[in-house]
Amino acid sequence: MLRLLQLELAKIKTYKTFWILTGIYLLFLVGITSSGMEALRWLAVNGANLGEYDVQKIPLYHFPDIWQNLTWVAQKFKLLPGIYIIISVTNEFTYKTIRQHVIDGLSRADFIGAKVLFIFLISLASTLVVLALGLILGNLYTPSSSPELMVTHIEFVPAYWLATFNYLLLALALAFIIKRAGLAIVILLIYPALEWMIKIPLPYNLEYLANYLPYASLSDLIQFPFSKYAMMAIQETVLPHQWGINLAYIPVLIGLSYATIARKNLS
Amino acid sequence: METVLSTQGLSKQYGSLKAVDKLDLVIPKGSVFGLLGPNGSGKTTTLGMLLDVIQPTAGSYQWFGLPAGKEQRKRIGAILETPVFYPYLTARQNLKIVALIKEVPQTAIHKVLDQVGLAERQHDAFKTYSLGMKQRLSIASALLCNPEVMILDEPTNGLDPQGIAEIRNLIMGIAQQGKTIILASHLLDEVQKVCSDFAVLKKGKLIYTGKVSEVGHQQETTVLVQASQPLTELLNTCPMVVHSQVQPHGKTEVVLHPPYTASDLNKWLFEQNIIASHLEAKTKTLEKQFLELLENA
Ligand SMILES: Nc1ncnc2c1ncn2[C@@H]1O[C@H](COP(=O)(O)OP(=O)(O)O)[C@@H](O)[C@H]1O
Ligand SMILES: [Mg+2]
Repeated sequence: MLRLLQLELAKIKTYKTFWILTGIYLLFLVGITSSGMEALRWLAVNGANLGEYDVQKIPLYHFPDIWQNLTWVAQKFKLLPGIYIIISVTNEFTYKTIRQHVIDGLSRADFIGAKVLFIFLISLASTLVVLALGLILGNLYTPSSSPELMVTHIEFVPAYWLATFNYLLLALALAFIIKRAGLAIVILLIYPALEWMIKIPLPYNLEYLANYLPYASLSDLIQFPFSKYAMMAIQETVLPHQWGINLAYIPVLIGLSYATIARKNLS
Repeated sequence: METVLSTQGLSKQYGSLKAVDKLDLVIPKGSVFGLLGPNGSGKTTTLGMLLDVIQPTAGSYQWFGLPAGKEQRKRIGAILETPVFYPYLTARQNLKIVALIKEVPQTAIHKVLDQVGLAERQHDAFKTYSLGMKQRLSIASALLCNPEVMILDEPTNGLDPQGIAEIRNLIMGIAQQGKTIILASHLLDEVQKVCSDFAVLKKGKLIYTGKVSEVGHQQETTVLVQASQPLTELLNTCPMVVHSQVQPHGKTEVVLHPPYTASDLNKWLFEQNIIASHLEAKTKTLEKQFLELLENA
């Protein structure tokens, strides 16, 4: 396992594209998620305050609200590692290194395994960044914090990991199916719309099935949090069936990638 | 005799095209085995199946007497067609990746880079290399696991004469270390210079297999002789001679029955009190036999 991960890391060590995408990703992840108060100030100046209501009083970064708020914003940037995952797979086809890896003694399953481990590492690193941000910002802004309050609704952090992991597995599967970087990236970009379009031909009483497609399922994990500040009811946790569906998608998405190369000629 | 590879009825069909057709091969340990055939005869397809990148339509094969598997491939050093590396990584970083796959220590890298003469350029990106250097890096990569078998597919393709000579010397040096080498080539002269055994493929079918040294055996030998007097009449009385003929340049071409050789002829001429001022054996080239094989098959 460690060897397969080392293999993927050896490929990116001096690969500029990877480091540039990672830099931009971190910039967004840290920069945008932590500038919520700036955003509220801007809203206030631009007349979002209604009567007594002061938008700058919204407890964006207060425990326990922070976990859902932060993870919901942070997951908006997962396209960037998604693009890198696609490039890392399509490169192997253009350079023919996948073929050479098999010749050298890697099995096709090892090849997929190495990519999955790499995805695990990226999603884990991203989750740790978000966790650290949450702990820092939460302690800065929460008036009277307590350890108990800090971990309330911290389930959004593992949910963030699962959403990111599955999204990158989806990018992986698209890359293996399409094999060409440009097209695969475009498909990944419009993929949410493609899932939504599946609803159209479905009869009305079956439309709900589209909500169980991979992207819809992973987006469902962290529900839009900010409408609660407009006094609307929202789902403030992750439900068991949402965990279940998304966990079930892990072997499905990996299997899909594997099926594209199992018992196939590699040229 | 130990066998490194054997195949039974190995076949690959692309639509209606039989790229490889019921191939039965046995490759003995320690041989330098040439897989000879014109372009499109199925050499790369055969090697691809043996290395698990092409799925056979039928048949089976065993490496070292064991069924196909990744552990067997880790004991083989192979390059199919063009050199394959990450262009943005250096030679050293690329070989590190190969070492991880083959589960060999990183310490082996320096030695093979040295062996192919790339030690000085090891920290330059692969994309900055000339074709000859890329080809040598391929060989370094194949050598990395100290392989029991090396597979080379047209290793001199596209190289200039100097590059060709370098690669061939490298291969012959490796062969002398007792490694088994499988060399696919459409160049007869390459197979003749480098290989001990060879097989000829034509349209996916195995049409000949044997030792390179035995080529020309059981065949007539042609000798060019020159002496101070005309020879044809005398030679036609010699029992060793099939026929003889004076060539435009004045030398006489003599065809001998097998197993007689040029030295037998020289001895016989000496017994007739004739001293040959020029005597040159023209062995039958592999090329001639190869062309005949392809015509007859
Ligand atoms: N992927 C493929 N699809 C269809 N035909 C192929 C494919 N690969 C090779 N062939 C055909 O199989 C035959 C053998 O090709 P190849 O093994 O590359 O020959 P060689 O290496 O001896 O030049 C050729 O006729 C080639 O056109
Ligand atoms: Mg070929």
